[in-house]
Amino acid sequence: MSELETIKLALGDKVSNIAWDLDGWVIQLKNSNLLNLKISRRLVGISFDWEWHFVTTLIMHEEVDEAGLHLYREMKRREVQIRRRGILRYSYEWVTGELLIKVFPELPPANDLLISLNRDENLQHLLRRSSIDELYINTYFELGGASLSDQALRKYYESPTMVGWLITAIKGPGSEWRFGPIVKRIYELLDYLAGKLLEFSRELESRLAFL
Amino acid sequence: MSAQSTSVIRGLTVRSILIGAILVIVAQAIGDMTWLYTSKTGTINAFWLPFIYIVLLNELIGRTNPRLRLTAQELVCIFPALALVNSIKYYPKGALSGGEALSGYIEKTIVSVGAGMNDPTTGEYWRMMTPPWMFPKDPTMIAAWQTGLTPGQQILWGEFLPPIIYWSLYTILMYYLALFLGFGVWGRRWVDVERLIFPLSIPMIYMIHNASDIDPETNKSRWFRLQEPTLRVFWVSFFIGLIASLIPVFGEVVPPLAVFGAFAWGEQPLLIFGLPSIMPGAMAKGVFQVDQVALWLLLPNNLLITAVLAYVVFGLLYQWIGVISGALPYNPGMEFLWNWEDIPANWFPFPYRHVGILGMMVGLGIITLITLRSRFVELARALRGRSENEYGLSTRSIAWFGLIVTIAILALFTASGVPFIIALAMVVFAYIYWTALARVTATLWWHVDDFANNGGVGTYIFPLGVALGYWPATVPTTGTTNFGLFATGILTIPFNNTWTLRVNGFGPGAAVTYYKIARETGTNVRDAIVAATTIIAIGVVFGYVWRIWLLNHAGGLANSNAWAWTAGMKFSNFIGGTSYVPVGATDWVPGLTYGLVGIIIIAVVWFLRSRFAWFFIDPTSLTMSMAVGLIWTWLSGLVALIIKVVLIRTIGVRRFESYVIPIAAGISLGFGAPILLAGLIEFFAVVLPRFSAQFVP
Repeated sequence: MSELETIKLALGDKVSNIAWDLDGWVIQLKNSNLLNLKISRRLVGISFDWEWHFVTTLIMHEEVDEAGLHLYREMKRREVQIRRRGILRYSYEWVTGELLIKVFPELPPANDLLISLNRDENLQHLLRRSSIDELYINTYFELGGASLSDQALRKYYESPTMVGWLITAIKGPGSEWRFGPIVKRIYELLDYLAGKLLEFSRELESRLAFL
Repeated sequence: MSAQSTSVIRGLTVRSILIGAILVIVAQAIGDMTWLYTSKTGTINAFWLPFIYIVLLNELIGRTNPRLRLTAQELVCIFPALALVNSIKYYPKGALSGGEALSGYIEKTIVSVGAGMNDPTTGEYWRMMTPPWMFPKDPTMIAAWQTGLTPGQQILWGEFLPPIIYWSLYTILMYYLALFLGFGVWGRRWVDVERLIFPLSIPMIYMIHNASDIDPETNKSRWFRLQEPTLRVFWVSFFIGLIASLIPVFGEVVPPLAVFGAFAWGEQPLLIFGLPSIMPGAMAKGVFQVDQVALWLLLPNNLLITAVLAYVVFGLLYQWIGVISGALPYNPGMEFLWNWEDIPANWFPFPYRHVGILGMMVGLGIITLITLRSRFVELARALRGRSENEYGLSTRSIAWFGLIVTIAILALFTASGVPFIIALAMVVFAYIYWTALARVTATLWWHVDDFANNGGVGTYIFPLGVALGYWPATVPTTGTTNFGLFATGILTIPFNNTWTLRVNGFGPGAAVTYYKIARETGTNVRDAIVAATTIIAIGVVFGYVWRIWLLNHAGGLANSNAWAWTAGMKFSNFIGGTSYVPVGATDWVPGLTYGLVGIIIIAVVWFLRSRFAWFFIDPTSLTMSMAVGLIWTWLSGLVALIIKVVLIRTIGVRRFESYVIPIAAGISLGFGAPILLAGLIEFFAVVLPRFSAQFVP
């Protein structure tokens, strides 16, 4: 069974359409918190081990007004990622995103999203179940208009064209022979996470509206 | 002519040519003397100077005068001088194995024939059959080969001149064929398209890259900047490797541990003593290699799992169930034997080692050549004028080189007395088997078993001669008088693969590994191949002359470590009998049957692996495991797999990715570094005194 067929089987009736895009499959989803999911793989270092990247976007506003700009910048302060511990059985902790610290050192991180995610038992269960290696929640961005990625990130921060989240999950080597279950579990994790993020973002937006 | 030479740098300079030429002569002179008179035949048996010391010396010289510092590309161009003398084991750690280097070729050619002529039981036969271009006919020279010159006696160089020319040509052509295939056929695809890992090349590439990164302000190599995390990891790993080298040191010098042996500086056999009482018949032996474990951290999990799984299925379950069910006989101690000894891997009903050697390796070679068919088309086009510049090397030059070498081999074999069709079959099998050898080396490691000695000739080449009426189906035990068969038997080893070829410093796997090193260090590929061919030509001719001088002047076969027994091997397997497999076979039919089974297995596994993502069994890893009787793969594979999984789970994929190469390179280079000290002690304490005591001016 090919990888594509495995993905189709794992996601079942959630799949609306699948198309190849540059380096991976873009899957349009239905009846889900996720509209789309890109699954691609890349070689780890020089070896033939593959790692799988699962990337999805949660767009909240496709046009950015003053309120949207404010929302985007507040969301930026809430970028988080997981820190994984353990050898045989993993435990996960949400921490402030490295990209935020590295590229935007002047922005004070806000920890309400981080606390909320860390308190979510169901999320912890889904993380353990998927045994994901890396997971990043960043604000949506497009890399353009600058030669260096850091500069491009800053430029997009200054004038975003869309407001939303970009979620990237990475599963490291050793996935090949249980790829189906892994795809299914990571999808369930991302779907749940997307629901949480949408809920949090709407609540944040309403909070900002009162300020 | 299109160019792919944007970033290649010339390495072939006057000084690199001179250093390479001088180095190969010095290295072969000292190395061959060490080989013949060492007391540590498993470990200190060639030229004991790991390449890291050349790199360090270059740094010292460069600090005193920057203009004298050799560039990375020049270092790559002098590297063949030491690789040629020291075998493929020199690439990752600087280890020595004279019997698997140029000295090994000398052993299996002129030494073997000369030993046969002195054999107490078959000597008369050998003296009758051996032509003067293979060994002198003069009785005094034959006798001196065995015991050395008597005082006042002289070497009759005129008698030795034809054998020197003949065997030098034979040996050089073998090296050149490997270089053609490595540089012309395999290398480009495996490096650029398939991106094979070439684990053996990693330490050398890492070392040269970093040592040649010079800070212009301080005129010092950045290799020693410990504040850089990856370099700090490298040096810490280097010292871990250094400590681990106590394994071969203890294996050589401490009597209770010496029973385990310490071949080639670190191939450490480990026995699982309790296993036979639980699973009688199951394989309870594995070879542990520190540098193999370190470099196998770079391999994908599925390759490592395949190696371990092959052991579980065939080494443990098949042998154990076979014994307890009565399908396999039980010989006490069979659990602890080597792959070439009397073990179930070589027995009916499923001789998996022979399935691996005669079938899976042949199948792997054929499939790989099929995948490379467009490369042959490119080379054929280049012969007619559509040449490409590939990183400095023109495809027309390499195509002509390959064509001339192949025709020259056919001409040499035919002129030697081998029937032309048989010569052609030998060359075809060399192309197939060498391709499989090189693929295994480029993917995993150097261990695969011998084709010629393990039924390859008896199964494929000998029956062809019978079918064509070149020789009868039964070889007399007193030795064949059919000169066609005699010449075939003499020339098939090492050409159709023995350990001397497969692990040679410029055998198939090493040649393509050297190509990888040239590519990764940005060396002009043409310069690399010109340097290698030049050094090989000088080294081979000098090697034969030097060996004739050494044996005649210092004790002969009887008083040195020379492999006189290779004459018996050639006699019993090819010219005074035929090697049929598996154990107990009386003709070539079982070998052919199991060969076919192996070819089918590898074709199916290859198809499944390329078609289905979930099918994780790797065809190359499975072939290597089976063809080498499992002993050399499973233990290092298991340890590497465990370390890799634990490392990824503790430090994460990203940091593992950053640090795995410095860790692997550091451990390998550190593990080999003490060889210099051990070599110096052995050379001055044993080799020189032993040589001097027997020296006859």
